[in-house]
Amino acid sequence: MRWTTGQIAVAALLAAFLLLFLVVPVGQVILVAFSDGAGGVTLVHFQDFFRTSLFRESFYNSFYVAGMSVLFASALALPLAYFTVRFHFRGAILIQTLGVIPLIMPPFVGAVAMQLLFGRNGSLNLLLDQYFGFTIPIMQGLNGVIFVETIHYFPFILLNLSAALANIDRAMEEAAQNMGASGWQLFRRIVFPLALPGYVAGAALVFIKVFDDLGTPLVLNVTNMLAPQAYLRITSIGLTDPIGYVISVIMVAFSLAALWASALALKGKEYATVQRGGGGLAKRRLKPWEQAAAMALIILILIVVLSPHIGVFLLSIGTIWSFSVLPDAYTLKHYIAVFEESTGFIGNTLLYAGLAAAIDVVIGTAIAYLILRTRLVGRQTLDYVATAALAIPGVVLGIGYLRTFYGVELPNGQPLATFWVILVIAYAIRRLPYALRSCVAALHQVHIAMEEAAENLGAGKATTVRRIVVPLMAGGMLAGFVTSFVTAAVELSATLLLVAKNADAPIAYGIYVYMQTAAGRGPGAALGVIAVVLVGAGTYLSHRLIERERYQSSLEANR
Amino acid sequence: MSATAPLSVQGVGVTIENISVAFGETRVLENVSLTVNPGEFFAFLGPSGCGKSTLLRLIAGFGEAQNGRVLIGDTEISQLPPWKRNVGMVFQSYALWPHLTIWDNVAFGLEQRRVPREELARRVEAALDLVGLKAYAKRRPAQLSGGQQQRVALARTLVIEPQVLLLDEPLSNLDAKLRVQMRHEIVELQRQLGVTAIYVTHDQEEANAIADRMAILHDRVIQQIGVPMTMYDNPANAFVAQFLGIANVLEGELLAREQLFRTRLGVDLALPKNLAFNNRGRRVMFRPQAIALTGASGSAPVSGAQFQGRVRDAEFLGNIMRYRIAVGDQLLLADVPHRRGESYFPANTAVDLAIEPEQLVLLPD
Repeated sequence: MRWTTGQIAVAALLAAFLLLFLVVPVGQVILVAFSDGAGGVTLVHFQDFFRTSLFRESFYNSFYVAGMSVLFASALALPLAYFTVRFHFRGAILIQTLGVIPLIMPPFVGAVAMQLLFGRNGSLNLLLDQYFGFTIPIMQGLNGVIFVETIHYFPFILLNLSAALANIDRAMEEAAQNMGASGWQLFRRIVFPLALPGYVAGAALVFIKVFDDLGTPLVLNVTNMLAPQAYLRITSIGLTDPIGYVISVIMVAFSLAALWASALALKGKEYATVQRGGGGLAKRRLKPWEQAAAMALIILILIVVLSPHIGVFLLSIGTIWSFSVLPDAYTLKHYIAVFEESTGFIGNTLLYAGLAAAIDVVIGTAIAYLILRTRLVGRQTLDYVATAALAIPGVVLGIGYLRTFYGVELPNGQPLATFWVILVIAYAIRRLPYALRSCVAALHQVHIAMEEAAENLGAGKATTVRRIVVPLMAGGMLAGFVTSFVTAAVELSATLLLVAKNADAPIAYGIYVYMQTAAGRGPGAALGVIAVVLVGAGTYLSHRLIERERYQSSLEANR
Repeated sequence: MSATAPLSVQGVGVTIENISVAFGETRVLENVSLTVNPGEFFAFLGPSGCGKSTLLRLIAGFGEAQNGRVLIGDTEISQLPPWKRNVGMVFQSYALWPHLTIWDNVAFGLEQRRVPREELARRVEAALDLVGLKAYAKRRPAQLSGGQQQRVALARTLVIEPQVLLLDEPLSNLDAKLRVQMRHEIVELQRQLGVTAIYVTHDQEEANAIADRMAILHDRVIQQIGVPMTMYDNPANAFVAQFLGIANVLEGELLAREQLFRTRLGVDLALPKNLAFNNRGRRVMFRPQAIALTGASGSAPVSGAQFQGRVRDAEFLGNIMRYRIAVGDQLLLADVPHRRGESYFPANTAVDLAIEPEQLVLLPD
């Protein structure tokens, strides 16, 4: 009675899927990086890599950009999180809502607009030059990448840190105050250490995201970083060039290391500190002048944070925008152009992201059930493997798929690697970790007695899952679906490698291609705005669903 | 609640034979055996972590026993999955499904049994009527109070006409007043239907009040099985004595021939006439209300009293005054019923204590 044949069959299917579309392709990449071409193992490709100054520089640059982005994102997120959780004032809700907005636009979309706003001849520098006679090189080279990535990914730290701060029982703080700690001491010795898990989780995520990002450097014309180098080697020299694989292995290794370091930093630190009747740091009211100062600071930050969106929007409705503070005139023709030429992109995106998200939810629910409700041997491995996808950059997965599936031909002679379904699977694998966590959290909320009651009344395992477990998990599953959907909808790195023809391409690819030419920027931005609206609506929906779920479970907890 | 039983339940016995359960290295139950008679209201009583819930869940088919078997009537059910057992269980958290209406919650078990539509409707209605919630059928669990949810959980279990009704601390989520009311309702329902019921609780008052018989579990084994009052008066060991109420325990030695117990303080206590001296007890037990307390008159105890003591403190509990009395190096508890206007012995008062032989229980070593 430890497991049923049905459970074993499901586990086997899941294992086969993960093996075929995650383990084997990534394994192929690693294999090629270490292969001497004659069946032996060699480090010569790695030596080549480190002997070439361009690659050494790329390696250093990727690190530098990821590290600096984490630093600046922390500097941005830390005060915002602390002030909003800690104090009662009007801006708090504004930050918590507007602060997540950068997440709903992939950084490469905003990158062009950022150049127009903050570049050498961008709005800001034109104004500065005109009135003060100097300019700031915010967008030059690596600075630009760091700036764009920071603005886009700091919400990961903000969200995680705010949640962690909100989870600190005020009694913890009061106990420290009671012992005589206050102000900076209180923050440094009690509040921050308790919130550390949230911060570390967010910071690790930012590091990985920036390290993996391909679109932003490409759009900003920065190629001396790892992801662009991998992409360029594979697309210009070909699938046989080992350097692309070496770079892939290095990227995977450092992403894994970042995940591992964050797990290590949190190991053995159980910081769930909300006790009965507790909840959240004590909130203090701000004096009017403090309130004004805080608001001013927040507005400044929000203007910077929202500038990519403003820029993209202006770009999408501007006629010509070059060497001027604002566009010369305004028009809707870019939108018309997009709807005339490129509705295929939108349709493809809806199809691909929808399918990928559906796959994620089904797999996520199945794995969650196996982990939490069975004692099947190897169930943890499924979890680990699925979660490890987090550490596989899109470029690497793309290269792996090309390598593994290029030789496989469909009945019509097309290589499997460029079949659109492979793109869907790549999205599904890339987003699986998020959907999985969402499903696991949802199943955690379902008290096991709910299922035992059904079994007690005569329902078998399958019926119980169908009639009790899935309906009760529905909110969390839907939230997982939306999360997968919105992030898959703007995925670029794997897309760039796996799209073979325009007819199969999704929005992200379309935006990227448009943005390559000056004339295409308008339509590209219009497509970007459409993507943002799409993703924004999805994010809002998932937020509402999660809130409703939380509200309902709090109702149940209160009975 | 209606007068006649609309659901037909056959009370059958439950037999548990040599059940042992371990979770990894932790042994939870060891060679537990007991028999529950048909139609009986039986309780598993014990402190938290004693394995009483584990044992109950085992009857329902949740969890695994390392060895032993469970029989319902004469049929062994140890190998059956939970959904084929036909034992109804009421969960501590009620486990009402929040996404289904009250009606759908109650109908679930009948749907699983493919009961024809008309009969299903009749039985669901009867079950809801039985617990007085017919008017609430269209609501959802979250819209009901704790007591109402408890009734729904009962109706949902009873509607399948289970052979045995299992209740896992069903009242622990209710407030004190409702708890007493619900336990009356549960007993009434059980008597009305004649269903065999097994009730798990850590509250000895609850078990005493409702159970025909009960088993006290502690340290992985059954400490004693019996009728509540018999066990209170004749606990099998010190644990049972102390778990079922307050026990004053005196150490000393048994003088079997003289039918005396000589306490460590040197006082000889007469033992009940009909006591069997097969075990050599070194401890004697009596309840706080067995002590007769009088104000001390002089250097020797008043006639009939055995001990002289001094009141350490007095706790007023409403219906009784509870004294802690220092006797030699020991503290004894004495309960004296309180009646309006009566005075009491303040701290430091010297008192004499008398205990009748019939109130003494010799505890085995």
